[in-house]
Amino acid sequence: MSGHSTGDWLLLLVTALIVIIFVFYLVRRFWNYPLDHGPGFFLDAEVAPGFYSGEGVRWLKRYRTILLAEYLIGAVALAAILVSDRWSLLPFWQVGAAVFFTAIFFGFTVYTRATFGANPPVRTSAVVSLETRRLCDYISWPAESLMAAIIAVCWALLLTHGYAQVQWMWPVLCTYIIVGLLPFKIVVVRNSPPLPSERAEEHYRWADAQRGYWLRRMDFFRWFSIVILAGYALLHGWPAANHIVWLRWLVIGIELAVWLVLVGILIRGSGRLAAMGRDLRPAGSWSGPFRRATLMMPGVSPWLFGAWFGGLVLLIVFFRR
Amino acid sequence: MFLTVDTNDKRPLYQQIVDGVKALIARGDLREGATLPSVRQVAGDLGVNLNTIAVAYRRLQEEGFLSIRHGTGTIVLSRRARAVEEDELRQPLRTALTQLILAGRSDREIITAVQQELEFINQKGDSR
Repeated sequence: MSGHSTGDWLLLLVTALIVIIFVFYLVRRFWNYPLDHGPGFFLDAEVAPGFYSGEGVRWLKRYRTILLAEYLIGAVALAAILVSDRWSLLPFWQVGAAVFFTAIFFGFTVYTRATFGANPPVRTSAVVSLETRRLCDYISWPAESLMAAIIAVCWALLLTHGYAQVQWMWPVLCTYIIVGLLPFKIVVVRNSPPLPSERAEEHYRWADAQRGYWLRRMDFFRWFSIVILAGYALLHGWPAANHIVWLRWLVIGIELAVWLVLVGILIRGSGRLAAMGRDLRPAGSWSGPFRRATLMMPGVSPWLFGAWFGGLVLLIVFFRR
Repeated sequence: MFLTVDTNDKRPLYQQIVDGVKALIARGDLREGATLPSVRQVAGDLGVNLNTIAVAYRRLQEEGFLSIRHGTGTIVLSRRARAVEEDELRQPLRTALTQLILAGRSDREIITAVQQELEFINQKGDSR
């Protein structure tokens, strides 16, 4: 393994960080995730009293088995890459593990919803907040314009000066993520699940915190993609950049810093949200008199998310075939 | 500030919205100059037809509580409704009192209930 470049070692370092974060999440968040809202709920489906002394034990076991299987598959794939000494595959493992994990987790949530959460209780009353939600309060248009300008410059650089080694997968994926998440942000701001009439204020604060968390999460994910795209365009669209060693390290350093900030936001935000919603009713666990609440992001249909995510997977498959 | 709607309530939905907004204005929760969310936002959050909320907002505008302007949004105008006849003002009170009498409440119980409701409204208004 002595023949590996500095870049390879860096990839290994990032992979090690990802593994640490994955394990941290497994222990701190995922293991008991279905119990986040107390014994009255499994994930975000309302369950009958005594659920966890009967059927719930099997469901929890099934959930944890799937969780462990996911981790095991990821670990085996990583071990295979390391043992076969093909470290160039590490970025694909990083992306693939995240995509695979999200897809399975999302699939299990939808499956849970489709089985015992299919007919959530219908309330005759619902509460609506009279706080105005304006797009400009949640979405910074100057920042969006800056993103659009950076994307345009990167593509211009790659299309006009990109030399033969350009792998179009990364620019396409990054652009898809950055552009594709903007409509999601708008949907998240525009939509809000109905609030239950009991403890409406707390539910509202929690829903608003969720909205802010998802927007921050999407924004940092998009900025991370921007940094990757910009770095890639700089190094592959401007051949002279490859000879400037400090520039390469600067790009890598910025990518790593933005990624660490993203991870920090994920960890802190999800912990705070879990604490806030500890004994509150999940949005997807009940139907209002006029509207059925959805799971996941406030007001965002899982099918819409599925379509975006499916597009991402299709792009990866297309470029890897 | 929140509005509650209930399908068990015999009033139509738009009326529940109208009454709810009026109650918030009367209590001082919604003050003059405050902005209300757009018809689209309220309708979307509740999952009801846009027209339902539009009718409620229009009714409040006609009664002089709201100003609806394209571009600037919906603004609360005043705690006082447009000038209305004393008799028109008293009509809902008369209806409510009749309901209470028919429900078998004594005069004393009715007066206590009216005082409690007044105190509740004034208490919220004073605390602003």
